[in-house]
Amino acid sequence: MSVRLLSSDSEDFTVAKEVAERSMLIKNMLEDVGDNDNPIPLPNVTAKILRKVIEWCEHHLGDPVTNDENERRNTEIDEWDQKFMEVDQETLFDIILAANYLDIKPLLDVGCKTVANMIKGKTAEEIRKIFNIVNDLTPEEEAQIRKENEWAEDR
Amino acid sequence: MGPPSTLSPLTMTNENESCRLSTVPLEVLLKIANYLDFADLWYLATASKSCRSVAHHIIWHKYGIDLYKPRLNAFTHLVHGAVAYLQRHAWNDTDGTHRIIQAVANRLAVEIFDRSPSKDWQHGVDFLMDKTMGILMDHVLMDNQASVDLDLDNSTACRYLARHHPRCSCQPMKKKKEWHDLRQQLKRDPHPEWTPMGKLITDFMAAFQPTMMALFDDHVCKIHHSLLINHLNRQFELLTQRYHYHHKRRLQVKDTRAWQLMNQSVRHTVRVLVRFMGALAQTELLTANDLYTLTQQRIMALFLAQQYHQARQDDQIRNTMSSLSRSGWLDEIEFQMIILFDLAQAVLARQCLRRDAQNEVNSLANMFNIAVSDFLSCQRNSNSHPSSQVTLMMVPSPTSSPHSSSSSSAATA
Repeated sequence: MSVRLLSSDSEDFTVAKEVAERSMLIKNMLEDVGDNDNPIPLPNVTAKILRKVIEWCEHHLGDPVTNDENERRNTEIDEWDQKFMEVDQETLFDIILAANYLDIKPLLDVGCKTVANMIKGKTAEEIRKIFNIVNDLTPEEEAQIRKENEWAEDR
Repeated sequence: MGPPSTLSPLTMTNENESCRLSTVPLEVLLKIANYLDFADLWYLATASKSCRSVAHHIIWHKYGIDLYKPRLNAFTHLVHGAVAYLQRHAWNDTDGTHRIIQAVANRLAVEIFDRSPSKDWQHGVDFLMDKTMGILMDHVLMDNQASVDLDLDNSTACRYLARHHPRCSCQPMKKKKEWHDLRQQLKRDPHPEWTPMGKLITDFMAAFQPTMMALFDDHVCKIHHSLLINHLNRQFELLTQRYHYHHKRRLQVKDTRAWQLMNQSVRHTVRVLVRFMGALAQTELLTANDLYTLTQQRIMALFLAQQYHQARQDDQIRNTMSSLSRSGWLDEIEFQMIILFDLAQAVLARQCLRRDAQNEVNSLANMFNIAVSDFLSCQRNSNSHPSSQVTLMMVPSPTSSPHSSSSSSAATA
């Protein structure tokens, strides 16, 4: 059985019901409306991102649900997901927002882990470089930050 | 003081467009922060104004630490900066770790020295050290890495308990043999498992105290010690209140899963604090007698069985405990055993290292042993409430304790 999904830019996707039901939002909607040929509108997800999300859901179709707290804290990402997340930052954050909106917890976890790994263990300069951030701190603020963070002179 | 009512828009701009982090809602930012430690967030805050705004907002929500007013709380910021630096550069025990810890201790001690009046410096030092210690201790208790190490199935005590837990074992208990096995295990490996942040802060305090002493005089030692005891007392008092309040609500709560999660969280924090105390007891900062006194005065007051036997008839805790099933009682005594085991292990490690804690080893081993007896009697009896309690303090104090070994303590039970 298949389900039709309608992206915010009006592109129609037909996917297997089990794939669509990886999203708790869609699953609940399907339960509410029952069998229906009408497409489910997803006003917060563009076609480009919805395509990526469907790709992820299809790949992880048989994954068991884990509530393990340690697994949750673990920042390791499996190889396929790492490759999947090798996208520009714009797309990465769109996937995270779509996963949050569609309520696909494992995809949201992978996205959050990816962003966390971009920040983890990095210096301010490295963070600026990774996220392409302009340093807009005033000289006084910079001096204050230096003072708070210079603990061992020879490092 | 709290967070701003709304998060200011994150304008992490690159040349042509604003960064997408600005559109990430707080709940997702907090999810990302789940995979980051305090140091990561601290250094994120130093990247730009907007990063600082987001990072401080996350730190407030995740740790309850207010960093919004850096100029007003300059010293507090400095101490948090020290913790972030230690967490990033001295987390793993490598060759350079001691040098890094000492460098941070030197700088912080000099900062306190510079902020203290030259005459009657005691009050100024007392105030600043109190602030420092409060922050350090908060970081120990907020250590989310600890949960991995304190995973119930991983600790020696829990492996022991799990092996003999009535729900796991069909074999009749052979008390003496079990105790013998445990003693053998302790002899082979008396080194308890510290939490990473607890160990780091202990190492830092152990370097900080003599540095302060070198800058001021011996009186600093007394200040440091009394502040440390005060903070430990305060933390146990707060945890006891939380634990008891939580159990008083048990009968009214409908969502038992949420209640259990909260119960686990409080117990976890108690264990983190006990482990931290154990780590401190391996240094000059805390004696074995301090540890034992804290156990008697604070930790035992936390256990519900103690409250049950001391409470008045109409007391809510008594009602709650009366309503507990046998497995509920077993669960509570099991928690008591785990804590006592951690404490006994810490004192035993000190005894191995310094040979000055024999009496405390005996007393804590005895307390642990009585808890084991309670556990066994509760398990055997159809009556859900244990008849004898370690909590009734029938254990001789270390000063009056005969010079018996832990094996003879074991035999008494």
